[in-house]
Amino acid sequence: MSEEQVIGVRDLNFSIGSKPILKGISLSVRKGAVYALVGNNGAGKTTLLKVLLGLETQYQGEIRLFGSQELLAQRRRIGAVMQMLCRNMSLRGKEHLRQMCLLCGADPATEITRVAAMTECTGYLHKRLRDCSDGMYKRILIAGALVGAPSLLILDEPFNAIDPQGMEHLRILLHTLHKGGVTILVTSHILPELVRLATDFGVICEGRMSSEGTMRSLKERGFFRYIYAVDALSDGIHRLEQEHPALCAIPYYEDTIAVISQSQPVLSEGFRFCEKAEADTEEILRYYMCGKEQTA
Amino acid sequence: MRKLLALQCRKTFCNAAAAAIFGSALLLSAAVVIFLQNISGTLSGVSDDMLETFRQGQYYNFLVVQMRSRDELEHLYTNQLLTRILNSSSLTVLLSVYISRTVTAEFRQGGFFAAVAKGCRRSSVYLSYLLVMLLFTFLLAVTYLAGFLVSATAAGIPSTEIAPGELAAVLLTQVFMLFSFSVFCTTLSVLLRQTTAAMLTAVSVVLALPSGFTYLRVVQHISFPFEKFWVLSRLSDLTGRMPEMGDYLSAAGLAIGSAAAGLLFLNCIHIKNE
Repeated sequence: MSEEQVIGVRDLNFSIGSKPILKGISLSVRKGAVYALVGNNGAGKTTLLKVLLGLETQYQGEIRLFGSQELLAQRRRIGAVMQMLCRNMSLRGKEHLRQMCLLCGADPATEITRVAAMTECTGYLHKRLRDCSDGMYKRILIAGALVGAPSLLILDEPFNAIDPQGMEHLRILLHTLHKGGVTILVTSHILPELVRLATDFGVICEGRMSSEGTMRSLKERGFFRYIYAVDALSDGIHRLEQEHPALCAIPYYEDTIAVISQSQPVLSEGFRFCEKAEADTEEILRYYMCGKEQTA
Repeated sequence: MRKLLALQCRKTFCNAAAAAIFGSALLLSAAVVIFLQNISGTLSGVSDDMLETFRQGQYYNFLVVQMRSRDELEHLYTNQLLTRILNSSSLTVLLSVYISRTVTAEFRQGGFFAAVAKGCRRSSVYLSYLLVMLLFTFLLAVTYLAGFLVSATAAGIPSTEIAPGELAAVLLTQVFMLFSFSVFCTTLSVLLRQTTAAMLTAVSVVLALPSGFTYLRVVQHISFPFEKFWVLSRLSDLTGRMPEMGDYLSAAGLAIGSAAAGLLFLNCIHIKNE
């Protein structure tokens, strides 16, 4: 594994009891990338992040952080915000940041001011976390993750519960951090945001890595969007799923269906072909998230 | 580990709740003295039959303190009260429950997550929580006892000469017990993810089992050969006697065993938010 590789995972397996959650995952996050990890609910994204952060320990496989297998030491260079794990809600924002400073060995006097200014949460640091709105709360958590100037930022669903203005600000913040050389691993269901932000993508489907690559390499795979008109949208989707389980179909507009595929599918009567266009990145991600290529 | 200890100390001691708890301990100790004084005063007019209703085995049980004879009850001495209160397992159990409640809350509220994600060992985080909480509860117990001594002196309860060795021995045993019960309660709380249920289970085990053995031995005259090896039974029987080497070994074994089991278990637990 290259030294330029910030995260290297090879053949990672993880189970809870007898239920396998991650099945032979391999992924590679290069230095300076904004890596978007996408997948449906329950695909294993958060579990993968928890394994990387040491919150799950009973796994098989190889993990390297910053090219090293000394994971404990390397985790000090990581800042993380996990969707599922909140803080003590009776803490004030400032207390949370002070605790993070103590953990990172940073000087609270200067560090709190710095990270609060970066995330624009200075105005509500005096509030208890339970009194903050979801957006404010998320900003304070992100500020906490930035304490100690981490080289790798791991963000689990950072765009959830943030208003459009907050989302724009977060996008600018992540863009600035990226320009400053911070590697970012982010998961989200808001694909348009990820497409605007990310340089690399990884798609998890049912615990397996169904695809990985840069935005350019995804586009070079020759995916097209085939639009078909149907009499009734829900009936059309249902029929398509039954007759062609390997195809990825997305409701497109009114009574039209978009089929994402590398070659034009032959469909039965009732599907009237309308047009063909190059699939965009979001649609290609949707295709891999469906896991259709595994059943094809 | 040093950073973690500093962090836990800050969390535990730097809030108003801590001051309120210490203040409550002082008030409670004064209340206990007044309660005991009233009992002592009332007992002179109580018949022997009535007094016998408070008997449990060899002792008269008055909630916070146990006495062996009517004479002891009518002539309270500060040092006797002190050793009996120290030896009473209820104080240890309450402190253990408090520790387990606080540590479990940290596991659920992401304090544990934040430290582990920053590269700290799970065992170090867990031990730092326990050590600081033990320090906190030890200081709380000392505050309680100091308040008790001051209140007793102010109330005019006479004190005979207190043997420092006796007090130290009792304190040492209690610290061992406190540690082992804390680990036991905490592990149970984290495992069951139901703090109240876990605490109730722990308290039941601590209180009911030894009392059951005592009941069978004293009232039903049934004794079990394994009873003397049952650590909780042995330790709960300390009231009214000095701890022996076997008590220290039992308490230490219990502490080390439960700590090792707790660490082993917590090393593989899934961290999940509640």
